[in-house]
Amino acid sequence: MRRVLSLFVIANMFLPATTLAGDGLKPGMIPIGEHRRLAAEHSTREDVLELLGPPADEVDVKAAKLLKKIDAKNRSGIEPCLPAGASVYHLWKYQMANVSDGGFEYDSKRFGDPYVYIAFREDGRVCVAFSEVADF
Amino acid sequence: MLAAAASASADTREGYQDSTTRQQIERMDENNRANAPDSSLNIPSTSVEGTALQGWMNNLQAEEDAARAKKAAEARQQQEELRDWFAAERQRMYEREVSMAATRQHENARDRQIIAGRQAQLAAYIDTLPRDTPIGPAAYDRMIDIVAPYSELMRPLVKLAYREFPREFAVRYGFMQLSTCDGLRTQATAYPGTLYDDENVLRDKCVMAQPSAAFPYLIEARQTGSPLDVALACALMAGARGSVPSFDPGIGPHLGDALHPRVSAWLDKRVQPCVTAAPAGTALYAGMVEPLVRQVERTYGNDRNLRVNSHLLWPLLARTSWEGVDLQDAAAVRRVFDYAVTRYEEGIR
Repeated sequence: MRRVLSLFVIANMFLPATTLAGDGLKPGMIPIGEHRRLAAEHSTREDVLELLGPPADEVDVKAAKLLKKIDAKNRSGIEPCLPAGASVYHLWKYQMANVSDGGFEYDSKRFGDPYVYIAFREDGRVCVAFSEVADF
Repeated sequence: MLAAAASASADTREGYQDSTTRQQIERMDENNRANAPDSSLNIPSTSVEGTALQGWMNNLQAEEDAARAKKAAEARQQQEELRDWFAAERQRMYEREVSMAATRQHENARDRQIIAGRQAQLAAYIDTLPRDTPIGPAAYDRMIDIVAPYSELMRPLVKLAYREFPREFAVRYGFMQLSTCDGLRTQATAYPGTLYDDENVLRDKCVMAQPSAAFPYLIEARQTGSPLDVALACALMAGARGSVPSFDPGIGPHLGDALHPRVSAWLDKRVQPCVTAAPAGTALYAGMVEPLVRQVERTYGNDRNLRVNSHLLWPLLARTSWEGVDLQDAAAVRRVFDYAVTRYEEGIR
């Protein structure tokens, strides 16, 4: 991951500042790994909007389906985020993007998870943010 | 016309009547007939045995064989050299791993010993506290001093102190969130050079989220804290704003704003109220906020220089550093800042 991010940094050196000012990203797209800027239990919806922009989509996914499809490493993080009595996760969905040829696009052959999902707690703070291959 | 042409091409030697050339041609024909192979045996006339050509071919073959043998020997030697290099490299890696494991074991044992010692001191101090009165902020200050800078002990203790006394401990809890990583040993957070491979992953995940985790408490301190805490909170937030790349796993100097417009904007919005909360012209600003931000900005991108997200900056936060200091005196404030920077640099060394 460190190597990937280093390449990302180097690639950015050759881009004009106007592209990097945020305009190069389509709404709902975030640079690879940027969801890690969020701190679970601390970041609010406002923080998410400011740091990542508006989500590409908001999706409702049945808990059973989600837990079945997502990577095992993400299960323990998302499980406690299901509101009491609920059977559906409400998630903010983002598309990962890497800088390539002066624009932001995702190369799934080079980078693993193309999607980022964020679940919020009932008090509006981030419960978990995770990257994932599964497309909901 | 065609018949004439055929007759002419049948024997082109007809035109050499009585000439020396004709006689020569006839001799050549005789020689050819004499040397012609016996077609009844159907053996091709390729034998060069005993001829100069055979000698030449033998020499050529010998040269080729020698060249092939030399090439094969060179290839074998190269393979052997490569095999030896791999073996040496494998051995070197193994020795490095063994050495690193030994160093790590030694470091861990030393840290455990120190931490156990601090825990014992903490327990001894707690035993001196009156049992019938609740623990106050001063006692928490003392307890934190005892265990500093070991984040393994500091994090839970400062969190407890913050829960009990949010106003008094918000800035220090914010600093703990900004400068340490849950589950990572204290020394590993000092600078990436001290990390082992498995610690890199933990640190990378933690470092990016440090501002998000810390700023709620630093903002709280800015809003509710004492003048010193307000100035400290603003210094830390402005210092973070001045060194955005230090919150990246791979530190890339000079790329902060260009690479992270949203992060920079997010930080700007939260630092901006400090213009009125810790205004320029005050002793705390002149003696601490301004020099801290200037030094952080000047050195960011270099792991070994001042970073606000290093536990080594703790002396700036410790109450003992500020005891008896006149906060209206910029020179006195500056002396505390310089002392903290000196301690920081000692920690790096």
